[in-house]
Amino acid sequence: MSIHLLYRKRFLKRFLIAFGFVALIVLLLWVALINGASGLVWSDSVKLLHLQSEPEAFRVIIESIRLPRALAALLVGMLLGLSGVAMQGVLHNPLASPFTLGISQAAGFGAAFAIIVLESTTFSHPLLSKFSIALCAFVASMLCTFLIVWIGKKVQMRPSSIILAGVGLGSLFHSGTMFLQYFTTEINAAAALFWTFGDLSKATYENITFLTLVFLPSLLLLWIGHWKFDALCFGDESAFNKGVHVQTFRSVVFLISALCTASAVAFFGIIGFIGLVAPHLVRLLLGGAHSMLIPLSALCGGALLLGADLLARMLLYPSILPVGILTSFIGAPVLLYLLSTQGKRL
Amino acid sequence: MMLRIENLSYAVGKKCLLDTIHTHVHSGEIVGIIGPNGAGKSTLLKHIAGILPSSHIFLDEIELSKLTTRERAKEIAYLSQFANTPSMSVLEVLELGRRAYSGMILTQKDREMIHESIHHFNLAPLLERNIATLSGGERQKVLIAGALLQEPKVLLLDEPISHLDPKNQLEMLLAMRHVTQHKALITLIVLHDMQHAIHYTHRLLMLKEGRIIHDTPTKSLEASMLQTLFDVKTSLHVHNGHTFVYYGHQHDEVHGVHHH
Repeated sequence: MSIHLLYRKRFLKRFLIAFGFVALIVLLLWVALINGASGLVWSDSVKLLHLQSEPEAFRVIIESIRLPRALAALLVGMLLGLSGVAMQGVLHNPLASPFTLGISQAAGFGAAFAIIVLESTTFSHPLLSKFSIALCAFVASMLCTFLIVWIGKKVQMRPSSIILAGVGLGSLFHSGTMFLQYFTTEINAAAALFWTFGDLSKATYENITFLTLVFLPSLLLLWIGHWKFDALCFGDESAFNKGVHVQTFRSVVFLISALCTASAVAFFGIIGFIGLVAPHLVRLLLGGAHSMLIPLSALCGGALLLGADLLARMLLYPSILPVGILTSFIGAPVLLYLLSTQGKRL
Repeated sequence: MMLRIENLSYAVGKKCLLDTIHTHVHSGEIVGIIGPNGAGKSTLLKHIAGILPSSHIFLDEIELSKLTTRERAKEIAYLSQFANTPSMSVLEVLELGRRAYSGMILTQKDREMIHESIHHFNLAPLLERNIATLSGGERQKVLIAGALLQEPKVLLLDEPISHLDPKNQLEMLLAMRHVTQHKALITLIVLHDMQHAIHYTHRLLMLKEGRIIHDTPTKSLEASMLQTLFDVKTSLHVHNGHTFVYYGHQHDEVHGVHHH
């Protein structure tokens, strides 16, 4: 086959798959908007088209409850998918995920610190207290990341050492959380625990704007380095010989990836498995080239979380599950299924 | 063009891996690096590739350690002994060879060069294949093609044929010789098979315990050199203008068994 024909064929295939993901997301967004306290109401779809002329109550439900929640699901999913593909690419490890560096435990510790320690102090400022949990979770996650990069520099950023360091720091932060929970009231301990469940009902336009401002530049920065991820698949030495400064690249990717995860986690708690599974799904569809793997893992993550949140709202209707419980509950069997059927390709 | 290595030493802890290595290689020349296991052959290539410090190594007047990673990738191509084989199409592997020049988006010129390389190495039937599913010989051909797309002046090959069958070994070595002369490359190749080393290199660099013990044109190789290098009784035989190498006392032992 001539190379030009091959390029055209490859472009068409990539375009169709990307288009498929976008179409799926649009479909899921639409379902999310017509799904509410009274279940799926198909007749609402027509009302969505001329929202301005609908009754005030309906507009408020759509604009300040359903839409922000759906957009938050989409964005958080995209951030986790993006972070996951970056971590897997840069650590040569199919089990790497946004939480490999111990970020989730660090965020949990930050949140527990805010709930248990800061709440009881007198100097909390009203504006600060509104964001104090998110802020503490974010600061703790980034602190954990900087520690990993600092340790990593001492071991030439070797992937296996970094993963071990992540496991170590993760359990350190986790024990910190348990320490705080042990010495506080039952209510505070429960609040700290509940925060880790991962819940999208806290969505507001403020945090959606913030997440968008994190997502877009991160996507761009990671995409610019798509060929470096490809080169890294052959191992550090080969990548170096293709022109990749491996240590610097790895550190930068960690920071971007951690920023994505930390900002998602800070607002909505821990949502597992999206970042792990999304890149694997795309890899099965398209192979390992990162020029498509990076943007599509983000889209796939968005679609997965949007879908999972819909399920979380419908499954035990009328009660609504925190989506984090559902993603782990469904994500784990999906991963095991993929591993047993497609293990060689993962 | 000339690659010069000036008094390169390298130690890890107290163990000296390379001891005052001093040599130079001209373009168009294939130098075989031979020696027992652990002699420092791969370590030497890693220094030239820049994976280990390269401050005593010069390409003409340029000190290699002064180059950025991307500049170096345009001068030196290196095929390591152990590389992963990820799930990626052959075309994408070839494209990687041009990234040091163009980065994230390839130019028309890059695509034309890839096209030429596909033609030259006869890779058209493999283009859409995943390299993880190729045979050893096919995969090595793709990796070499990718390395040459870097338009290097220096080509470093660490045991490039160890896992190939005889036909693929010969094809690979002939291709090496062709590109080295055709593109005036400086080629250094680690080989374990002395027969190949004798037939396909211009010069032999014999490494033992981190030191060059002989640096000789392949034509003037003597059995005694190999004997000190490998600590094995060695003899060279010339037949129809070809040199053959024998190790040890195999024939005597067979005779001995026969007599009993």
